[in-house]
Amino acid sequence: VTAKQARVVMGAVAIVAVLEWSASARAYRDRIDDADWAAAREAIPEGEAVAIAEAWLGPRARMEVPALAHVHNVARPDLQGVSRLHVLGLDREWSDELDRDLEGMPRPQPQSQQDIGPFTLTTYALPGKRVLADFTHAALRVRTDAACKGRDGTYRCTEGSVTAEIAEIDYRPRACLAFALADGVAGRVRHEAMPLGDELRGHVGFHDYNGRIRNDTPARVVLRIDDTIVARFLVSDEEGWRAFTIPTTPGTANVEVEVTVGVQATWGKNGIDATYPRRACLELRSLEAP
Amino acid sequence: MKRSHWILAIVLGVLTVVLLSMGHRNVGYVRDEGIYFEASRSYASWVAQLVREPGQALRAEHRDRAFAINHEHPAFMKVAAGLSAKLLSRPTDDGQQGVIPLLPEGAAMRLPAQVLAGLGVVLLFVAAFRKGGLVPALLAAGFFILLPHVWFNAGLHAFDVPVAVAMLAVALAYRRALESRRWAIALGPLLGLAIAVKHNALFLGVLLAIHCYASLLLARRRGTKITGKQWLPLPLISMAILAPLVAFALWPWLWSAPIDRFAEYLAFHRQHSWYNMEFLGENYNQPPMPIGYAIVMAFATVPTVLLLLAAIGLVLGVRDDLRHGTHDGLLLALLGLFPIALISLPTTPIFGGTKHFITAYPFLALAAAHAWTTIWSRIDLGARARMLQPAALALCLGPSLVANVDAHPFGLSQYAPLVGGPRGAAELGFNRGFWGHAALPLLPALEGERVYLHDLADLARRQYVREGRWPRGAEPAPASRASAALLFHERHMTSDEVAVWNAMHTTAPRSVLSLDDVPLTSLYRAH
Repeated sequence: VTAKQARVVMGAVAIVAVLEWSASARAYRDRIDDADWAAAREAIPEGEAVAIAEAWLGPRARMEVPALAHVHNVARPDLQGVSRLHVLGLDREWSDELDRDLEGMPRPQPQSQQDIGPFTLTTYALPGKRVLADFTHAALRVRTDAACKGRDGTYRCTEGSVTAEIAEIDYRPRACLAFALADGVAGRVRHEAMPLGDELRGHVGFHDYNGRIRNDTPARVVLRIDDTIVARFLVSDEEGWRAFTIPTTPGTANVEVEVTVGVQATWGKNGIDATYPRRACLELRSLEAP
Repeated sequence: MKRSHWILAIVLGVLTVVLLSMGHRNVGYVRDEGIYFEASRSYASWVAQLVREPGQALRAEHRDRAFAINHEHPAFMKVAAGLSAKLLSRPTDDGQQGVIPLLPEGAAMRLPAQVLAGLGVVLLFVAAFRKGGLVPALLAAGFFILLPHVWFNAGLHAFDVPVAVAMLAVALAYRRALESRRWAIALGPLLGLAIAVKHNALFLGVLLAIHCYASLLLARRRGTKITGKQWLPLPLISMAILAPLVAFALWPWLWSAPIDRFAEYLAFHRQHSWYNMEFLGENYNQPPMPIGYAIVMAFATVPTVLLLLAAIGLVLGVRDDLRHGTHDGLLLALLGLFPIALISLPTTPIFGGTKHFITAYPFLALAAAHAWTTIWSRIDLGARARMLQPAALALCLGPSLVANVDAHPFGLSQYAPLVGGPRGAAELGFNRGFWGHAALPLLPALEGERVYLHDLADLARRQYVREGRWPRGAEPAPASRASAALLFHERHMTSDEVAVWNAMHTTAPRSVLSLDDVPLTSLYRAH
């Protein structure tokens, strides 16, 4: 190594070190204090659709800002039923998760922006279809071979249960109806006189990640309107939060979804394990264009 | 080395032990420590029995009963921890206490690993000093111990930093063994000791043999005549014969059925279950792991300036070996890169994140010191060099030190500055701290609650109970019957988090433990 080479190398080392000192000054400190969270809480309207751009901030954000803890915001099915969305971000105004939730809609343009300490609160307008009815929060009739008992989202059947809950699907929380039934049993959930707009929109996915690794059985989904089959398809857990839409005529109708999973238990190195079965989870809403 | 330099080395080692011992009282017990605590008590009781009633203790059924627990790891560190508790533990809830009750039982059990970390600092200082003087010595010691992930692991009752230090000691002994008959004979027992710490050292004999033969071949290529005796050198014979004997002698579990139990031990680690590891936003829990995992994680957790120095040192060292017939460059390259290469194999089970290639860092630290020595010797700054070197050293070690201080006691969740620290890592999608330990500040709020412990291991909880640190009246419960819940945040923990939401009827935590804004652990209460 010549003296010149040594100087160049040491210069490069010094430059990297200086860069790291500078990066350290930014990285190793809190950027958000209690006052910032209080200001965010004040600025975010209750009852409206709100999201946090940095998903990793979620736990603290839900603790500090009640609107962000609301189940409609934490476990939304998609952004199709949202007409106005506020996004609280630290370094971003949007996120990949929100992109996925657009499900084919173009990314909206910001309508307004507000700086709140280190945060930016950005408000977006979306096409926003109106949600007329939602299976997850409706009174349903649930049956397998026999009628299931229960209400308010908890239905007990001879072969298991169907429950409105928050499930983990593709590492995201989703509010949906979880089918915990015996293998091969068809669970039918029915909404009598469901108000219909111009489409039924729903999703099916599988809870949870352990089950998804160790069981690949697809779910069969059959959708009936006034007892006529309008859709029948298989859903695999590879599809994540699989969306489906059915065009409808405005009015009311009896809407029924039948979900069947051949095998619920999982398969690992110790053989079949029914302790933590994989569960199919369904959500369905009727939407009306604005 | 002057006497004053030896004193400085020892002071740095002692300082390391003292700071680890005091600082790690604030580090919660990680999942693995729970079972190690149990095993340590069992093993130390057997040693006590061996002193009192050797005939009884040596009977196979007594021995096996004592060493059956946690027999997937060798016994040495657990025996040391158990004896440390017998010497230093304050009274526990079952009335046990040490001869000199100075420390909580868990802190006493962590002490042997902390002492080894201190020894690592001394060894690095001395090894680098002999090659380059004071500043490279400080660089090597600081490179290793100031890394947040090393510091975090160094204070635990675990085996990763101890085996890294043991491997360093063996490698340094090997260097001496190439020229000294005494060291050559001592090398085997030393390697046996390292193997008795953790299985990483099983590879070391092979790596040293590769180095030995590579050096011989290089020497022959340069025209040196290699005698038949040199092809079977004493250091290798010592390692081949004495290391297995010492490792066997230090692990009484093997005594009853050496071959079967050793085979079972190897099989356990070869087929170790895969843990969930988030890497660049993806959760991996089955093979293949991305081949870049270890390299990216090394970059993400070690300041780049140190990696740069290490890389320069390795290149210069290997070049010197090839050109001038020295030995250290190849040795450092082999031992510094092998752990990273091994973890990079797509079929190597990933179950511990960065700690599984911690064994590389002492050798990378020595490589960095070699780079430092070489470059400063050529830079020709005259007397100014004496002034500039300490400042440059501070410049290079500063990012590690700042990161370490910032992260304590959650060092496992710390990331390098160029990655953006914890916030940058969360944004990129890296693990948060998978060991269920970041909970101590939340414990007082659990008084009187039925608690869903989530990833806080029950054996770790029992250790808190033994030491009187567990909140009064708090009892573990499944999420469905709990009044409060802990939740350790990781990507794959989303399913546990939604289970807590469903059970507690809320999505809003009552309290969130964060590092630089990044949530590590949440406390939920039922609505």
